[in-house]
Amino acid sequence: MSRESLYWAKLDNAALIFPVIVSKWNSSFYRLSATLTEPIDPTRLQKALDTVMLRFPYYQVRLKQGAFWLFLEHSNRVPEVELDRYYPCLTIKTPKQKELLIRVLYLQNRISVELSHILCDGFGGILFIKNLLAEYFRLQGVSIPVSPDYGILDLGSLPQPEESIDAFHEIYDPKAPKDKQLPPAYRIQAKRCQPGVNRVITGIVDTQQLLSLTRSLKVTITEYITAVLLYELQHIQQSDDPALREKPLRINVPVNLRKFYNLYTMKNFSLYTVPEIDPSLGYYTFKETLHAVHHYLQKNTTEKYIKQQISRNVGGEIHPLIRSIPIPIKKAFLKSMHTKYGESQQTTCFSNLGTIAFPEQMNPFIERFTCYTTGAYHTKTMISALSFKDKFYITFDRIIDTPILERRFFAFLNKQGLSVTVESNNQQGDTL
Amino acid sequence: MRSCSHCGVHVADGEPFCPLCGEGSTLIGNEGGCPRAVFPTNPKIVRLPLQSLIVIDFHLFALFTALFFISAGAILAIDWLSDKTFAWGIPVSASVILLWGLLIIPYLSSQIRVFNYLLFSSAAISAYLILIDTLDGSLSWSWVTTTVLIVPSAVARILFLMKDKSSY
Repeated sequence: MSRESLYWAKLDNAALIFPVIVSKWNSSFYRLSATLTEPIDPTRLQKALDTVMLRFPYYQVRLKQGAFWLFLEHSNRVPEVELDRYYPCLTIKTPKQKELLIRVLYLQNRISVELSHILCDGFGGILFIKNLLAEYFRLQGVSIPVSPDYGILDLGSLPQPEESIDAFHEIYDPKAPKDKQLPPAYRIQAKRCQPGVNRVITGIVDTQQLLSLTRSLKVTITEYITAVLLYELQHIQQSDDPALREKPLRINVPVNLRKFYNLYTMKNFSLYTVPEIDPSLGYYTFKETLHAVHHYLQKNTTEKYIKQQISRNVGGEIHPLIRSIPIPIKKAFLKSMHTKYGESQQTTCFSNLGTIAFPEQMNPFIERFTCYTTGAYHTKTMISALSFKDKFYITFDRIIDTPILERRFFAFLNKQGLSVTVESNNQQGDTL
Repeated sequence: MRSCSHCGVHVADGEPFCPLCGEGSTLIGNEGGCPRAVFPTNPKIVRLPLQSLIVIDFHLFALFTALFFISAGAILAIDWLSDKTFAWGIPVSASVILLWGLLIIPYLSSQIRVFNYLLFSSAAISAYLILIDTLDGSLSWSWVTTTVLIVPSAVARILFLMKDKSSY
Protein backbone atom coordinates (compact mmCIF):
# COMPACT_ATOMS: atom_id res chain seq x y z
CA MET A 1 0.00 0.00 0.00
CA SER A 2 1.40 3.38 -0.96
CA ARG A 3 1.99 6.11 1.58
CA GLU A 4 -0.62 8.39 0.00
CA SER A 5 -3.39 5.85 0.09
CA LEU A 6 -2.85 5.50 3.83
CA TYR A 7 -3.63 9.14 4.30
CA TRP A 8 -6.80 9.51 2.34
CA ALA A 9 -9.15 7.32 0.38
CA LYS A 10 -12.26 7.77 -1.67
CA LEU A 11 -15.50 6.34 -0.38
CA ASP A 12 -16.49 3.28 -2.35
CA ASN A 13 -19.56 3.49 -4.53
CA ALA A 14 -21.92 1.79 -2.06
CA ALA A 15 -20.63 3.90 0.85
CA LEU A 16 -21.32 7.25 -0.82
CA ILE A 17 -24.91 7.35 0.36
CA PHE A 18 -24.30 6.49 4.04
CA PRO A 19 -22.74 9.76 5.31
CA VAL A 20 -25.61 11.62 3.68
CA ILE A 21 -28.37 9.62 5.34
CA VAL A 22 -26.77 9.38 8.78
CA SER A 23 -29.14 10.93 11.29
CA LYS A 24 -30.24 10.46 14.86
CA TRP A 25 -32.54 7.68 13.61
CA ASN A 26 -30.16 6.05 11.17
CA SER A 27 -26.62 5.43 12.33
CA SER A 28 -25.31 3.33 9.40
CA PHE A 29 -23.52 1.15 11.98
CA TYR A 30 -23.82 -2.58 12.44
CA ARG A 31 -22.54 -4.67 15.29
CA LEU A 32 -20.88 -8.06 15.47
CA SER A 33 -20.66 -9.61 18.92
CA ALA A 34 -18.83 -12.64 20.22
CA THR A 35 -19.64 -13.98 23.67
CA LEU A 36 -16.66 -15.77 25.20
CA THR A 37 -16.53 -18.30 27.99
CA GLU A 38 -14.55 -15.99 30.28
CA PRO A 39 -14.87 -12.31 31.27
CA ILE A 40 -13.07 -9.87 28.96
CA ASP A 41 -9.77 -8.33 29.99
CA PRO A 42 -9.91 -4.77 28.55
CA THR A 43 -6.12 -4.25 28.67
CA ARG A 44 -5.50 -7.39 26.66
CA LEU A 45 -8.29 -6.47 24.27
CA GLN A 46 -6.70 -3.04 23.70
CA LYS A 47 -3.33 -4.68 23.00
CA ALA A 48 -4.95 -7.04 20.51
CA LEU A 49 -6.77 -4.13 18.88
CA ASP A 50 -3.55 -2.11 18.53
CA THR A 51 -1.96 -5.04 16.68
CA VAL A 52 -4.96 -5.76 14.48
CA MET A 53 -5.34 -2.12 13.43
CA LEU A 54 -1.86 -2.28 11.87
CA ARG A 55 -3.12 -5.01 9.52
CA PHE A 56 -6.39 -3.12 8.81
CA PRO A 57 -5.17 0.50 8.38
CA TYR A 58 -8.04 1.27 5.99
CA TYR A 59 -10.42 1.10 8.98
CA GLN A 60 -8.41 3.60 11.02
CA VAL A 61 -9.96 6.53 9.20
CA ARG A 62 -12.34 9.38 9.78
CA LEU A 63 -14.76 11.08 7.48
CA LYS A 64 -13.74 14.36 5.95
CA GLN A 65 -15.60 16.73 3.69
CA GLY A 66 -13.97 17.94 0.50
CA ALA A 67 -15.30 20.43 -2.04
CA PHE A 68 -17.03 17.84 -4.22
CA TRP A 69 -17.01 14.57 -2.30
CA LEU A 70 -16.66 13.23 1.19
CA PHE A 71 -13.55 11.14 1.68
CA LEU A 72 -11.78 9.09 4.32
CA GLU A 73 -8.69 10.46 6.00
CA HIS A 74 -6.23 8.34 7.95
CA SER A 75 -6.36 9.02 11.68
CA ASN A 76 -3.36 8.62 13.96
CA ARG A 77 -5.72 7.69 16.78
CA VAL A 78 -6.18 3.95 17.34
CA PRO A 79 -9.72 3.21 18.56
CA GLU A 80 -9.94 2.68 22.30
CA VAL A 81 -11.89 -0.21 23.74
CA GLU A 82 -14.92 1.07 25.62
CA LEU A 83 -17.36 -0.39 28.09
CA ASP A 84 -20.58 -1.32 26.32
CA ARG A 85 -23.01 0.97 28.11
CA TYR A 86 -25.54 2.13 25.57
CA TYR A 87 -27.92 0.71 23.04
CA PRO A 88 -26.18 -0.94 20.10
CA CYS A 89 -25.19 1.04 16.99
CA LEU A 90 -25.44 4.63 18.27
CA THR A 91 -25.20 7.24 15.57
CA ILE A 92 -22.03 9.19 14.73
CA LYS A 93 -21.69 12.91 15.07
CA THR A 94 -21.03 15.27 12.19
CA PRO A 95 -18.01 14.66 9.92
CA LYS A 96 -16.36 17.74 11.45
CA GLN A 97 -15.93 15.95 14.75
CA LYS A 98 -13.29 13.57 13.48
CA GLU A 99 -14.87 10.49 14.95
CA LEU A 100 -13.56 7.08 13.97
CA LEU A 101 -16.01 4.86 12.14
CA ILE A 102 -15.17 1.78 14.18
CA ARG A 103 -15.84 1.03 17.85
CA VAL A 104 -14.71 -1.88 19.96
CA LEU A 105 -16.80 -2.49 23.07
CA TYR A 106 -16.78 -5.02 25.86
CA LEU A 107 -19.21 -6.04 28.56
CA GLN A 108 -18.74 -9.00 30.88
CA ASN A 109 -18.01 -11.94 28.53
CA ARG A 110 -18.85 -10.15 25.32
CA ILE A 111 -16.68 -8.36 22.75
CA SER A 112 -18.54 -6.23 20.21
CA VAL A 113 -17.24 -4.50 17.15
CA GLU A 114 -19.36 -1.77 15.63
CA LEU A 115 -18.47 -0.70 12.10
CA SER A 116 -20.05 1.88 9.90
CA HIS A 117 -21.23 0.84 6.46
CA ILE A 118 -19.17 3.80 5.25
CA LEU A 119 -16.15 1.54 5.80
CA CYS A 120 -17.23 -1.92 4.85
CA ASP A 121 -19.99 -4.48 4.62
CA GLY A 122 -20.46 -7.57 6.80
CA PHE A 123 -17.62 -9.47 5.11
CA GLY A 124 -15.01 -6.93 6.21
CA GLY A 125 -16.54 -6.71 9.67
CA ILE A 126 -16.49 -10.48 10.21
CA LEU A 127 -12.88 -10.72 9.09
CA PHE A 128 -11.93 -7.89 11.44
CA ILE A 129 -13.60 -9.38 14.54
CA LYS A 130 -12.21 -12.85 13.74
CA ASN A 131 -8.67 -11.47 13.67
CA LEU A 132 -9.29 -9.41 16.79
CA LEU A 133 -10.49 -12.51 18.64
CA ALA A 134 -7.57 -14.58 17.33
CA GLU A 135 -5.06 -11.97 18.56
CA TYR A 136 -6.89 -11.70 21.90
CA PHE A 137 -6.56 -15.46 22.40
CA ARG A 138 -2.90 -15.40 21.31
CA LEU A 139 -2.18 -12.82 24.03
CA GLN A 140 -3.94 -15.17 26.43
CA GLY A 141 -1.40 -17.84 25.50
CA VAL A 142 -3.45 -19.92 23.07
CA SER A 143 -1.73 -20.88 19.84
CA ILE A 144 -3.94 -19.75 16.94
CA PRO A 145 -2.48 -20.55 13.51
CA VAL A 146 -2.89 -18.36 10.44
CA SER A 147 -5.76 -19.95 8.51
CA PRO A 148 -6.97 -18.06 5.44
CA ASP A 149 -9.85 -20.55 5.07
CA TYR A 150 -11.34 -19.18 8.28
CA GLY A 151 -10.28 -15.58 7.58
CA ILE A 152 -7.46 -15.59 10.16
CA LEU A 153 -4.76 -13.48 8.52
CA ASP A 154 -1.06 -13.11 9.20
CA LEU A 155 -1.08 -9.90 11.23
CA GLY A 156 2.61 -9.33 10.49
CA SER A 157 1.99 -9.14 6.76
CA LEU A 158 1.29 -5.96 4.84
CA PRO A 159 -2.24 -5.16 3.69
CA GLN A 160 -2.67 -6.15 0.06
CA PRO A 161 -3.57 -3.40 -2.46
CA GLU A 162 -6.69 -5.27 -3.61
CA GLU A 163 -8.10 -5.13 -0.08
CA SER A 164 -8.77 -1.40 -0.35
CA ILE A 165 -10.00 -1.10 -3.93
CA ASP A 166 -13.45 0.09 -4.91
CA ALA A 167 -14.52 -3.14 -6.57
CA PHE A 168 -17.64 -1.58 -8.08
CA HIS A 169 -15.47 0.57 -10.34
CA GLU A 170 -13.35 -2.45 -11.31
CA ILE A 171 -16.29 -4.34 -12.74
CA TYR A 172 -18.34 -1.41 -14.02
CA ASP A 173 -19.53 -1.95 -17.57
CA PRO A 174 -20.70 1.34 -19.14
CA LYS A 175 -22.61 -0.52 -21.84
CA ALA A 176 -24.81 -2.47 -19.41
CA PRO A 177 -28.40 -1.19 -19.16
CA LYS A 178 -29.33 0.55 -15.92
CA ASP A 179 -31.56 -1.11 -13.35
CA LYS A 180 -35.18 0.10 -13.32
CA GLN A 181 -36.66 2.15 -10.50
CA LEU A 182 -39.50 0.47 -8.63
CA PRO A 183 -42.68 2.04 -7.22
CA PRO A 184 -42.75 2.74 -3.47
CA ALA A 185 -43.29 -0.25 -1.19
CA TYR A 186 -45.42 -0.59 1.94
CA ARG A 187 -43.70 0.41 5.19
CA ILE A 188 -44.70 -0.50 8.73
CA GLN A 189 -46.62 2.34 10.37
CA ALA A 190 -45.72 2.73 14.04
CA LYS A 191 -44.57 5.27 16.56
CA ARG A 192 -40.80 5.58 16.87
CA CYS A 193 -38.90 5.36 20.16
CA GLN A 194 -36.64 8.10 21.44
CA PRO A 195 -33.70 8.57 19.00
CA GLY A 196 -30.81 6.29 19.83
CA VAL A 197 -33.00 3.56 21.31
CA ASN A 198 -32.50 0.33 19.41
CA ARG A 199 -34.75 -2.45 20.62
CA VAL A 200 -33.43 -5.91 19.90
CA ILE A 201 -35.18 -9.27 19.88
CA THR A 202 -33.12 -12.34 19.05
CA GLY A 203 -34.78 -15.63 18.24
CA ILE A 204 -32.62 -18.73 18.65
CA VAL A 205 -33.50 -21.78 16.63
CA ASP A 206 -31.76 -25.11 16.29
CA THR A 207 -29.95 -25.04 12.92
CA GLN A 208 -30.55 -28.72 12.15
CA GLN A 209 -34.27 -28.39 12.89
CA LEU A 210 -34.51 -25.34 10.61
CA LEU A 211 -32.45 -27.02 7.89
CA SER A 212 -34.59 -30.15 7.87
CA LEU A 213 -37.71 -27.97 7.54
CA THR A 214 -36.29 -25.93 4.64
CA ARG A 215 -34.91 -29.05 2.92
CA SER A 216 -38.34 -30.65 3.06
CA LEU A 217 -39.66 -27.55 1.23
CA LYS A 218 -36.66 -27.61 -1.20
CA VAL A 219 -35.67 -24.01 -0.44
CA THR A 220 -32.74 -22.33 1.29
CA ILE A 221 -32.91 -20.81 4.78
CA THR A 222 -32.68 -17.27 3.31
CA GLU A 223 -35.59 -18.00 0.97
CA TYR A 224 -37.66 -19.51 3.76
CA ILE A 225 -37.14 -16.64 6.20
CA THR A 226 -37.73 -14.02 3.49
CA ALA A 227 -40.98 -15.76 2.57
CA VAL A 228 -42.14 -15.89 6.21
CA LEU A 229 -41.38 -12.20 6.59
CA LEU A 230 -43.28 -11.27 3.42
CA TYR A 231 -46.22 -13.49 4.35
CA GLU A 232 -46.54 -11.97 7.81
CA LEU A 233 -45.97 -8.42 6.52
CA GLN A 234 -48.94 -9.05 4.26
CA HIS A 235 -51.13 -9.65 7.33
CA ILE A 236 -49.79 -6.52 9.03
CA GLN A 237 -50.51 -4.52 5.88
CA GLN A 238 -54.06 -5.85 5.61
CA SER A 239 -54.86 -4.58 9.10
CA ASP A 240 -53.40 -1.16 8.30
CA ASP A 241 -54.80 1.95 6.63
CA PRO A 242 -56.83 0.94 3.49
CA ALA A 243 -54.82 3.46 1.42
CA LEU A 244 -51.65 1.42 2.06
CA ARG A 245 -53.08 -2.06 1.40
CA GLU A 246 -52.39 -2.04 -2.34
CA LYS A 247 -48.68 -1.23 -2.06
CA PRO A 248 -46.17 -3.98 -2.90
CA LEU A 249 -44.19 -5.66 -0.14
CA ARG A 250 -40.47 -5.91 -0.76
CA ILE A 251 -37.57 -7.23 1.24
CA ASN A 252 -34.08 -6.05 0.57
CA VAL A 253 -31.77 -9.10 0.62
CA PRO A 254 -28.07 -8.16 0.38
CA VAL A 255 -25.89 -10.32 -1.86
CA ASN A 256 -22.14 -10.67 -1.33
CA LEU A 257 -20.58 -10.05 -4.75
CA ARG A 258 -17.15 -11.42 -3.89
CA LYS A 259 -18.11 -14.94 -4.93
CA PHE A 260 -19.19 -13.72 -8.39
CA TYR A 261 -16.14 -11.63 -9.21
CA ASN A 262 -13.39 -13.19 -7.10
CA LEU A 263 -12.42 -9.74 -5.78
CA TYR A 264 -11.72 -9.81 -2.06
CA THR A 265 -11.93 -6.15 -1.16
CA MET A 266 -12.36 -5.14 2.48
CA LYS A 267 -14.62 -2.25 1.55
CA ASN A 268 -18.27 -2.56 0.60
CA PHE A 269 -18.87 -5.07 -2.14
CA SER A 270 -22.44 -6.18 -1.84
CA LEU A 271 -25.65 -5.21 -3.54
CA TYR A 272 -29.15 -6.46 -3.06
CA THR A 273 -32.06 -8.24 -4.61
CA VAL A 274 -35.61 -7.32 -3.70
CA PRO A 275 -38.06 -10.24 -3.72
CA GLU A 276 -41.60 -8.95 -3.59
CA ILE A 277 -45.26 -9.85 -3.48
CA ASP A 278 -47.98 -7.52 -4.72
CA PRO A 279 -51.12 -7.71 -2.53
CA SER A 280 -53.05 -5.65 -5.08
CA LEU A 281 -53.18 -8.90 -7.09
CA GLY A 282 -54.84 -10.76 -4.22
CA TYR A 283 -53.99 -12.66 -1.05
CA TYR A 284 -50.81 -14.74 -1.17
CA THR A 285 -50.81 -18.05 0.67
CA PHE A 286 -47.55 -19.06 2.31
CA LYS A 287 -46.90 -21.62 -0.42
CA GLU A 288 -47.35 -18.96 -3.11
CA THR A 289 -45.11 -16.53 -1.22
CA LEU A 290 -42.38 -19.13 -0.84
CA HIS A 291 -42.68 -20.03 -4.52
CA ALA A 292 -42.41 -16.35 -5.54
CA VAL A 293 -39.38 -15.73 -3.31
CA HIS A 294 -37.60 -18.94 -4.31
CA HIS A 295 -37.88 -18.26 -8.04
CA TYR A 296 -37.13 -14.56 -7.70
CA LEU A 297 -33.92 -15.20 -5.79
CA GLN A 298 -32.86 -18.03 -8.08
CA LYS A 299 -33.43 -15.85 -11.14
CA ASN A 300 -32.04 -12.55 -9.91
CA THR A 301 -29.06 -13.49 -7.80
CA THR A 302 -26.87 -13.65 -10.85
CA GLU A 303 -23.93 -11.69 -12.15
CA LYS A 304 -25.98 -10.31 -15.04
CA TYR A 305 -28.76 -8.89 -12.88
CA ILE A 306 -26.25 -7.39 -10.45
CA LYS A 307 -24.43 -5.76 -13.37
CA GLN A 308 -27.50 -3.57 -14.03
CA GLN A 309 -27.46 -2.22 -10.48
CA ILE A 310 -23.74 -1.50 -10.69
CA SER A 311 -24.31 0.28 -13.99
CA ARG A 312 -26.93 2.52 -12.36
CA ASN A 313 -24.92 3.26 -9.21
CA VAL A 314 -21.45 3.77 -10.70
CA GLY A 315 -22.88 5.50 -13.79
CA GLY A 316 -24.44 8.09 -11.47
CA GLU A 317 -21.22 8.60 -9.54
CA ILE A 318 -18.99 9.18 -12.56
CA HIS A 319 -21.46 11.38 -14.46
CA PRO A 320 -19.59 14.69 -15.16
CA LEU A 321 -22.59 16.81 -14.14
CA ILE A 322 -22.96 15.08 -10.77
CA ARG A 323 -19.21 15.19 -10.16
CA SER A 324 -19.13 18.95 -10.67
CA ILE A 325 -21.82 19.72 -8.06
CA PRO A 326 -20.40 21.08 -4.77
CA ILE A 327 -20.83 18.73 -1.81
CA PRO A 328 -23.53 20.66 0.16
CA ILE A 329 -25.86 20.59 -2.87
CA LYS A 330 -24.82 17.04 -3.71
CA LYS A 331 -25.70 15.89 -0.19
CA ALA A 332 -29.19 17.38 -0.40
CA PHE A 333 -29.64 15.84 -3.86
CA LEU A 334 -28.43 12.39 -2.77
CA LYS A 335 -30.63 12.48 0.31
CA SER A 336 -33.75 13.21 -1.69
CA MET A 337 -32.78 10.51 -4.23
CA HIS A 338 -32.28 8.01 -1.44
CA THR A 339 -35.66 8.81 0.11
CA LYS A 340 -37.39 8.59 -3.24
CA TYR A 341 -35.63 5.65 -4.89
CA GLY A 342 -33.74 3.90 -2.09
CA GLU A 343 -35.47 3.44 1.22
CA SER A 344 -38.95 3.93 -0.21
CA GLN A 345 -38.54 0.82 -2.36
CA GLN A 346 -38.17 -1.60 0.54
CA THR A 347 -40.47 -2.69 3.33
CA THR A 348 -37.64 -4.13 5.37
CA CYS A 349 -34.19 -5.62 5.00
CA PHE A 350 -33.06 -9.15 5.76
CA SER A 351 -29.36 -9.91 5.81
CA ASN A 352 -28.17 -13.49 6.25
CA LEU A 353 -24.47 -13.59 7.09
CA GLY A 354 -24.37 -17.37 6.72
CA THR A 355 -22.34 -19.72 8.85
CA ILE A 356 -19.65 -18.21 11.04
CA ALA A 357 -16.82 -20.67 11.59
CA PHE A 358 -13.60 -20.34 13.57
CA PRO A 359 -10.49 -22.55 13.65
CA GLU A 360 -10.91 -25.45 16.06
CA GLN A 361 -8.39 -23.88 18.48
CA MET A 362 -10.73 -20.91 18.97
CA ASN A 363 -14.06 -22.73 19.16
CA PRO A 364 -13.88 -23.81 22.84
CA PHE A 365 -13.52 -20.16 23.93
CA ILE A 366 -16.43 -18.73 21.95
CA GLU A 367 -19.93 -19.42 23.18
CA ARG A 368 -21.96 -17.35 20.83
CA PHE A 369 -21.76 -15.01 17.84
CA THR A 370 -24.47 -12.51 16.90
CA CYS A 371 -25.02 -9.69 14.43
CA TYR A 372 -27.09 -6.55 15.03
CA THR A 373 -28.10 -3.85 12.63
CA THR A 374 -30.22 -0.81 13.30
CA GLY A 375 -33.57 0.27 11.92
CA ALA A 376 -33.58 3.21 9.54
CA TYR A 377 -36.00 6.15 9.65
CA HIS A 378 -38.57 4.62 7.30
CA THR A 379 -37.50 0.96 7.40
CA LYS A 380 -38.24 0.73 11.08
CA THR A 381 -37.29 -2.92 11.58
CA MET A 382 -34.20 -4.64 10.15
CA ILE A 383 -33.48 -8.32 10.36
CA SER A 384 -30.16 -10.10 10.35
CA ALA A 385 -29.33 -13.75 10.85
CA LEU A 386 -26.37 -16.03 11.12
CA SER A 387 -25.54 -19.55 12.12
CA PHE A 388 -22.93 -20.31 14.74
CA LYS A 389 -22.16 -23.78 16.07
CA ASP A 390 -25.54 -25.57 16.23
CA LYS A 391 -27.72 -22.49 16.66
CA PHE A 392 -29.33 -20.13 14.17
CA TYR A 393 -29.72 -16.57 15.47
CA ILE A 394 -32.37 -14.32 13.91
CA THR A 395 -32.10 -10.77 15.23
CA PHE A 396 -34.73 -8.07 14.79
CA ASP A 397 -33.57 -4.53 15.48
CA ARG A 398 -36.29 -1.94 15.60
CA ILE A 399 -36.63 1.75 16.39
CA ILE A 400 -40.34 1.43 17.22
CA ASP A 401 -41.89 0.45 20.53
CA THR A 402 -44.05 -2.50 19.51
CA PRO A 403 -42.56 -5.69 18.05
CA ILE A 404 -45.30 -5.97 15.41
CA LEU A 405 -43.39 -8.06 12.90
CA GLU A 406 -41.46 -10.10 15.47
CA ARG A 407 -44.64 -11.36 17.15
CA ARG A 408 -46.10 -12.68 13.94
CA PHE A 409 -42.78 -14.02 12.64
CA PHE A 410 -41.91 -16.10 15.69
CA ALA A 411 -45.52 -17.25 16.11
CA PHE A 412 -45.33 -18.56 12.53
CA LEU A 413 -42.07 -20.45 13.18
CA ASN A 414 -43.63 -21.87 16.31
CA LYS A 415 -46.64 -23.14 14.35
CA GLN A 416 -44.25 -24.87 11.93
CA GLY A 417 -42.94 -26.93 14.84
CA LEU A 418 -39.71 -25.04 15.41
CA SER A 419 -38.67 -24.54 19.00
CA VAL A 420 -37.83 -20.84 19.36
CA THR A 421 -36.16 -19.15 22.31
CA VAL A 422 -36.53 -15.40 22.35
CA GLU A 423 -34.53 -12.81 24.23
CA SER A 424 -34.41 -9.06 24.13
CA ASN A 425 -32.65 -6.02 25.54
CA ASN A 426 -35.78 -5.10 27.50
CA GLN A 427 -35.26 -4.13 31.09
CA GLN A 428 -37.49 -4.20 34.13
CA GLY A 429 -39.78 -1.19 33.80
CA ASP A 430 -39.81 -1.10 29.98
CA THR A 431 -43.18 -1.39 28.30
CA LEU A 432 -44.09 -2.54 24.81
CA MET B 1 -37.00 -23.03 30.65
CA ARG B 2 -39.82 -20.52 30.85
CA SER B 3 -42.34 -20.28 28.05
CA CYS B 4 -44.94 -17.70 27.10
CA SER B 5 -48.39 -19.28 27.09
CA HIS B 6 -49.61 -16.55 24.74
CA CYS B 7 -46.87 -16.58 22.07
CA GLY B 8 -45.75 -20.20 22.46
CA VAL B 9 -42.05 -19.36 22.50
CA HIS B 10 -39.36 -20.09 25.09
CA VAL B 11 -38.29 -16.97 26.92
CA ALA B 12 -34.66 -16.56 27.95
CA ASP B 13 -33.88 -16.32 31.65
CA GLY B 14 -33.58 -12.78 32.95
CA GLU B 15 -36.26 -11.39 30.65
CA PRO B 16 -38.65 -9.27 32.74
CA PHE B 17 -41.56 -10.20 30.44
CA CYS B 18 -42.17 -11.94 27.14
CA PRO B 19 -40.31 -9.81 24.55
CA LEU B 20 -43.02 -10.44 21.97
CA CYS B 21 -46.29 -9.73 23.80
CA GLY B 22 -44.96 -7.70 26.72
CA GLU B 23 -46.86 -9.78 29.30
CA GLY B 24 -45.18 -11.06 32.45
CA SER B 25 -48.21 -13.01 33.66
CA THR B 26 -48.16 -15.37 30.66
CA LEU B 27 -44.71 -16.78 31.49
CA ILE B 28 -44.91 -20.36 32.74
CA GLY B 29 -42.33 -22.83 34.05
CA ASN B 30 -39.07 -21.89 35.66
CA GLU B 31 -36.87 -24.94 35.40
CA GLY B 32 -33.73 -25.33 33.31
CA GLY B 33 -32.50 -22.24 31.53
CA CYS B 34 -30.82 -21.15 28.38
CA PRO B 35 -27.80 -18.93 27.78
CA ARG B 36 -28.92 -15.34 27.97
CA ALA B 37 -27.10 -12.73 25.91
CA VAL B 38 -25.66 -9.99 28.05
CA PHE B 39 -27.21 -6.80 26.73
CA PRO B 40 -26.28 -3.29 27.77
CA THR B 41 -28.08 -2.02 30.81
CA ASN B 42 -29.89 0.64 28.78
CA PRO B 43 -29.48 3.72 30.92
CA LYS B 44 -31.54 6.76 30.12
CA ILE B 45 -29.64 8.65 27.44
CA VAL B 46 -29.33 12.23 28.60
CA ARG B 47 -27.52 13.77 25.67
CA LEU B 48 -27.33 12.05 22.35
CA PRO B 49 -24.75 12.87 19.72
CA LEU B 50 -27.32 14.35 17.38
CA GLN B 51 -26.36 15.52 13.94
CA SER B 52 -28.34 18.73 14.43
CA LEU B 53 -26.10 19.88 17.25
CA ILE B 54 -23.22 22.32 16.82
CA VAL B 55 -20.56 21.27 19.25
CA ILE B 56 -18.46 24.29 20.14
CA ASP B 57 -14.80 23.64 20.59
CA PHE B 58 -12.12 25.99 21.77
CA HIS B 59 -10.48 26.50 18.36
CA LEU B 60 -13.72 27.67 16.77
CA PHE B 61 -14.36 30.03 19.67
CA ALA B 62 -10.82 31.42 19.49
CA LEU B 63 -11.06 31.99 15.72
CA PHE B 64 -14.40 33.74 16.13
CA THR B 65 -13.08 36.01 18.88
CA ALA B 66 -9.84 36.78 17.01
CA LEU B 67 -11.78 37.83 13.89
CA PHE B 68 -13.85 40.34 15.82
CA PHE B 69 -10.95 41.79 17.77
CA ILE B 70 -8.74 42.06 14.66
CA SER B 71 -11.62 43.88 12.91
CA ALA B 72 -11.98 46.29 15.83
CA GLY B 73 -8.21 46.92 15.83
CA ALA B 74 -8.21 47.46 12.05
CA ILE B 75 -11.02 50.05 12.39
CA LEU B 76 -9.04 51.93 15.02
CA ALA B 77 -5.88 51.79 12.88
CA ILE B 78 -7.69 53.14 9.80
CA ASP B 79 -9.17 55.97 11.91
CA TRP B 80 -5.76 56.86 13.32
CA LEU B 81 -3.99 56.70 9.95
CA SER B 82 -6.57 58.98 8.27
CA ASP B 83 -5.97 62.08 10.46
CA LYS B 84 -3.65 60.97 13.28
CA THR B 85 -6.52 61.18 15.84
CA PHE B 86 -9.18 58.78 17.14
CA ALA B 87 -12.64 60.05 16.20
CA TRP B 88 -15.30 57.75 14.72
CA GLY B 89 -13.11 54.67 15.16
CA ILE B 90 -13.79 54.34 18.90
CA PRO B 91 -17.61 54.03 18.77
CA VAL B 92 -17.46 51.79 15.67
CA SER B 93 -14.90 49.39 17.12
CA ALA B 94 -16.77 49.43 20.46
CA SER B 95 -19.93 48.41 18.63
CA VAL B 96 -18.03 45.56 16.90
CA ILE B 97 -16.96 44.31 20.34
CA LEU B 98 -20.56 44.67 21.53
CA LEU B 99 -21.71 42.54 18.58
CA TRP B 100 -19.08 39.94 19.53
CA GLY B 101 -20.43 40.00 23.09
CA LEU B 102 -23.96 39.38 21.84
CA LEU B 103 -22.95 36.62 19.45
CA ILE B 104 -20.88 34.64 21.95
CA ILE B 105 -23.81 34.15 24.35
CA PRO B 106 -24.81 30.84 22.67
CA TYR B 107 -21.17 29.75 22.91
CA LEU B 108 -21.49 29.69 26.68
CA SER B 109 -23.27 26.35 26.24
CA SER B 110 -21.05 23.53 25.00
CA GLN B 111 -23.69 22.25 22.56
CA ILE B 112 -26.45 24.08 20.77
CA ARG B 113 -28.99 23.11 18.16
CA VAL B 114 -28.39 24.63 14.72
CA PHE B 115 -31.73 26.43 14.54
CA ASN B 116 -31.47 27.74 18.10
CA TYR B 117 -28.11 29.17 17.17
CA LEU B 118 -29.55 30.86 14.05
CA LEU B 119 -32.39 32.35 16.07
CA PHE B 120 -30.09 33.56 18.81
CA SER B 121 -27.63 35.10 16.35
CA SER B 122 -30.46 36.85 14.48
CA ALA B 123 -31.76 38.26 17.76
CA ALA B 124 -28.26 39.46 18.70
CA ILE B 125 -27.63 41.16 15.35
CA SER B 126 -31.13 42.71 15.46
CA ALA B 127 -30.49 44.09 18.95
CA TYR B 128 -27.22 45.55 17.73
CA LEU B 129 -28.87 47.20 14.70
CA ILE B 130 -31.71 48.62 16.85
CA LEU B 131 -29.05 50.12 19.14
CA ILE B 132 -27.34 51.84 16.22
CA ASP B 133 -30.69 53.01 14.86
CA THR B 134 -31.71 54.57 18.18
CA LEU B 135 -28.46 56.55 18.48
CA ASP B 136 -30.17 59.47 16.72
CA GLY B 137 -33.12 59.30 19.13
CA SER B 138 -35.72 57.47 17.01
CA LEU B 139 -36.41 54.12 15.37
CA SER B 140 -36.43 54.40 11.60
CA TRP B 141 -35.01 51.51 9.51
CA SER B 142 -34.16 48.88 12.13
CA TRP B 143 -37.66 47.34 12.30
CA VAL B 144 -37.19 46.20 8.66
CA THR B 145 -33.84 44.52 9.35
CA THR B 146 -35.21 42.98 12.54
CA THR B 147 -38.18 41.48 10.68
CA VAL B 148 -35.97 40.19 7.85
CA LEU B 149 -33.61 38.52 10.33
CA ILE B 150 -35.92 37.24 13.05
CA VAL B 151 -38.95 36.00 11.11
CA PRO B 152 -37.18 33.43 8.85
CA SER B 153 -35.10 32.12 11.77
CA ALA B 154 -38.18 31.80 13.96
CA VAL B 155 -40.12 30.04 11.18
CA ALA B 156 -37.18 27.69 10.57
CA ARG B 157 -37.00 26.93 14.30
CA ILE B 158 -40.74 26.22 14.54
CA LEU B 159 -40.66 23.99 11.41
CA PHE B 160 -37.69 22.08 12.80
CA LEU B 161 -39.48 21.70 16.13
CA MET B 162 -42.53 20.27 14.34
CA LYS B 163 -40.35 17.89 12.32
CA ASP B 164 -38.54 16.82 15.46
CA LYS B 165 -41.78 16.14 17.34
CA SER B 166 -43.40 14.13 14.55
CA SER B 167 -43.01 10.48 15.30
CA TYR B 168 -44.29 8.97 12.10
